[in-house]
Amino acid sequence: MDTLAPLLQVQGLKVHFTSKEGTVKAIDGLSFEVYPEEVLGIVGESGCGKSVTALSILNVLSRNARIVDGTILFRRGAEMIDIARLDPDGEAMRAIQGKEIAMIFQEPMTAFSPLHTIGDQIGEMIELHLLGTPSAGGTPPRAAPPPKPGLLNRPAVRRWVDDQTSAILGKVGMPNPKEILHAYPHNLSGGMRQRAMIAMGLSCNPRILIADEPTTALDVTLQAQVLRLMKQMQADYHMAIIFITHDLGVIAEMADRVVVMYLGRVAETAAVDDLFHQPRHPYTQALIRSVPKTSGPLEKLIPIEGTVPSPMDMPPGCKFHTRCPQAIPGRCDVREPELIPVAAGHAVACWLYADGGAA
Amino acid sequence: MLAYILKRLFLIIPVLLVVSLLSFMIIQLPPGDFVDAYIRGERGRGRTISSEEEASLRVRFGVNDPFLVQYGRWIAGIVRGDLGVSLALKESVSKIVAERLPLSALISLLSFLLVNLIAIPIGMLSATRQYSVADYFFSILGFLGMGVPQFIFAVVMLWGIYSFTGQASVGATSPEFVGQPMSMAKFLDLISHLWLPALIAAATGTAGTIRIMRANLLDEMEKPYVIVARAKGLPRRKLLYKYPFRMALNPFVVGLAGVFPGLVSGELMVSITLGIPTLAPVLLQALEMQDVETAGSLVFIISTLSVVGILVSDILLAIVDPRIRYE
Repeated sequence: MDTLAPLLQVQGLKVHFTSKEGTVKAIDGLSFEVYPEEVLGIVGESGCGKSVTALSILNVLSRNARIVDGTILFRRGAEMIDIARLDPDGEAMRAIQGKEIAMIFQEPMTAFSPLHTIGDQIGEMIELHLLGTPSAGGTPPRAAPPPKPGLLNRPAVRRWVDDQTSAILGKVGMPNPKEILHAYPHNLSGGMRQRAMIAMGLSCNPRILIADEPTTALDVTLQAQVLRLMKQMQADYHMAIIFITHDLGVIAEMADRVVVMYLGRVAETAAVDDLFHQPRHPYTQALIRSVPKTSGPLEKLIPIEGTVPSPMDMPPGCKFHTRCPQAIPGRCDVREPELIPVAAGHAVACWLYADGGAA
Repeated sequence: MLAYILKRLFLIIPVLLVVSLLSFMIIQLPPGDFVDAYIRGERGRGRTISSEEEASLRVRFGVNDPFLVQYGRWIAGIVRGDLGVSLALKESVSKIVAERLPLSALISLLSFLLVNLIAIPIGMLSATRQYSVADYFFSILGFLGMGVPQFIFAVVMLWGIYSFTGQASVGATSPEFVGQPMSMAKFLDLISHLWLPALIAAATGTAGTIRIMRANLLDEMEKPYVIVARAKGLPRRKLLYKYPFRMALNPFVVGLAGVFPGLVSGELMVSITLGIPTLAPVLLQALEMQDVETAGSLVFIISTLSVVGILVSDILLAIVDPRIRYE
């Protein structure tokens, strides 16, 4: 896959939040790539900046957050668009939002407006991005070409949008999509709402789908269903997925490549098998050790020592050195390590691997 | 839904009975009665009233009757649609209400419209441009509006009018229309007089409403569903009206309930200061003089409107918010 040009390149991204207490560097020099049709897993503890990364890529950060440095390059055809430089509310950004990059949010209950029907909320996106675009064919091809927009053609447009919406709802396994169109979010169960959310994400054939903890709010059986559905949808729609979670088990199941994040930076990135079999970063190793195994002899779980440093008061040097069992005094607590390649497609930001791995 | 509304309408009857009994009781709680207040007033005008006269007045006005007898007499009248007689104004309460209610209602409605027409757009501006110059300007103006008592505002306006026109009161109509039947010309004249009291009455409400609208909208704009809507690529103006604005309006629908009783009892300060013959001053006077039947009847009307107002706002809330369903 590495031979393909990346679809999305995040380089040196810095996102700061300003609050009364001071500035929080939520993302502090983050770099990674997303290649076409891959599933990139982003894993890390809560508060490490996973969700902020997702919101930055879509340029929908809250008012007190700001991209202060770095680029988010999105490839559309031959051109590379730097999302970090686009006006968040401008036309160029809005043409990407939902159409090229779509997102599935963590909590489907609060992510839908309670006052509007599911059909309305999904349909408005289809109407916005697909109406009047002859290329709406996409994959899979649409049954009917979109009608011409316009006031006189309103009933035809409405019908077409409803058809498209119920088609996509059917695609994600909604039992009676035509009725769901008129349902409100509170009429649906949690699993149904997340399916509707996925349908909304898929509705315009995005090239990148960002899924931010899409199964966290669901119980275990529903989790498995939703994961299976997402895998199948990825195969059908040939899109790249950025899968954000704190759950290593889900990452192992879903991802092709993994980015491990710690406090707004990449700690380690590797293909999923390499990461689980040969974790290099002490943080990754500790994360994997802290997950209970379902096979083999019973072992005591080893938690990661210490606590995440306060975002207001970041340690100097490598941010993990305060909790790292292998920290090198005079080095790890002084300078921050850059990503160091250790194998094909495997890089780690750790001083243990600097100078050819002189640990 | 229809069954629910009918049930609620039916429930109004016992509620009103209890409210009327309680208010009738409270009105009579202070020591003395209407005759005492009447004698005090006459004495103030230099007329002495003999004890025989006083006794005959007590019999005539029925103030010596037991409480329940007085209440029964009054409520029996209410049921027949007779609101009683105002002892102070020596007129039937129905006639007073008929004369003054349109004015009260007109001022209240005008000020309600003004409040919302001014406050909602400004609140939206303040929220969407938080911490801008405009936001600070309207915030300061808003706090001033809330801080300045209504009667001060009214007195200052009155002084302004006096220095421009030489008139010392606003009144409800121009002299040539007094006592005339309602006509288009009279109605326009009314409006031209009433916009000022309505504006004064609206000042406080506008200030509060701006703050409420701003806070509601700021709250809503950071909700996940709004971020989702932004992530869809919706044009921002459309997004604002369709999602957070709609949600931020819900508290206003609830607040609609308060408009109904205000139709009768609102704008007391303005009416007294500017000398506008609305119902609120009559109610105040009736309470001061322990004119039990008049006060009771007006409180009864206000309670009825309150209960109806709550019902109407409940029904509207169910219409604008699909999560609310009444069984």
